[in-house]
Amino acid sequence: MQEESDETIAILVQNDDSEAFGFLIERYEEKIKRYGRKFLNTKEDIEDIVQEVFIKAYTYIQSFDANQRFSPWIYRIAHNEFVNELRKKTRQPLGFFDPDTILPFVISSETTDGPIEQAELKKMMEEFLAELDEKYREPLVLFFYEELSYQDISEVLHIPVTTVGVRINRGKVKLKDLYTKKAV
Amino acid sequence: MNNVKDSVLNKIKQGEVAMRPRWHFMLKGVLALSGICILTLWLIYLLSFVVFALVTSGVIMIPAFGFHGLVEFLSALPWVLIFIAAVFIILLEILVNRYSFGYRKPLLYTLFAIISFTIVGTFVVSKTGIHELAMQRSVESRLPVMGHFYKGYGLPPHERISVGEILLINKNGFVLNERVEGRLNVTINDYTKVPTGAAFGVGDQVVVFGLRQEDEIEAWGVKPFYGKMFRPSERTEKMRFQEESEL
Repeated sequence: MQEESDETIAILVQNDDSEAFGFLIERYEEKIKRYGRKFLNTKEDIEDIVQEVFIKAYTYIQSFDANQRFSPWIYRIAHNEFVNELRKKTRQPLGFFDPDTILPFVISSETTDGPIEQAELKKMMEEFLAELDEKYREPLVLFFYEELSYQDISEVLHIPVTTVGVRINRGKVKLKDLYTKKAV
Repeated sequence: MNNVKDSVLNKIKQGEVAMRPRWHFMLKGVLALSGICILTLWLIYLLSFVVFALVTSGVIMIPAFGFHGLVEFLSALPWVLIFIAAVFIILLEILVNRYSFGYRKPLLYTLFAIISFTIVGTFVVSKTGIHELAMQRSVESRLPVMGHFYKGYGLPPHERISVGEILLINKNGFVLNERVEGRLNVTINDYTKVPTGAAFGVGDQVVVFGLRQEDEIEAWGVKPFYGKMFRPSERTEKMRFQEESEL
């Protein structure tokens, strides 16, 4: 079972093998927790929500299309749960149409950053991520920490692939600005 | 010990958490797709009707008469129907964005796709003659539910837009057999705009733009009418006459 793909295990769960679901939890629990820590600070909240994510994943597993990748699907559930929790806590209104999702953008390939620049960016993210807008924070986390592709991030956030690129690029610029301001 | 894993698996074993059956999601998918189809069909019907109503009422020809014509055109547009169509487009956009083929593309693309599809659909429906048929039945009082809707928008009571057939040419202008109002004397002067030239003859169908005062119109503009001329049936005219007498 350890060598099986997420999608294969998901098919087993769909065929009523609930024990197989345990393997999916093992594979994603830490990732989802790490993802959640970028939204929420309280450990208890994160534990509860991660549990809720897996309960929802099991409940809705029959809606998963095994021809697609499993990771964007489960991150989508996690995204919804964390965003709902965040909105409850901060009483943020629901965003409807974001201007970034309206217009088409031309974006460069996924990343032209070298390993050193990526390491620097991760360092900046550790320090300044909380100061970024949620709309920049999330794609950055999914891209740099969870190592999802633009396409997968588009599936998780339900936004155009070009918007993912724009938000990641803008997020990086904002991070660098914050870093420079602090250095000055 | 893994808390989350054990806790979730325990809940599954104890039946506290149940998997929703596949048919539930299929049904949701079918319902959402049906919603998209129904909404699209209504949108196409509505927009093709708006175009039909604008042509039939003569309103679509009014902007040719300059600034006054444009102002009249804007005030005579069926704004309620246009607003409903806009709401339908927004709802369609929301429904389409539930699917990956929708949210993966910028909103402008999906909106453009929806509007393009609707325009093509509107063109196709316009060619079927469905609205002409319904309107004909409506003026003959043979369209039970939608009759008033068709008559209300197809033959609206515009006091500045008159559509009819030229009965007689005289020295002041012509006598118009207006499709609802009957005979009207139309005066043409030096300021009357005739975008297509002044060669009108008896039997020509025209749109006259100008304030109607009793049986007289001082025309601000005259243009050939290219839509189908619908006239209320004798029965309708009789009813109108009765109503007017009662008033």
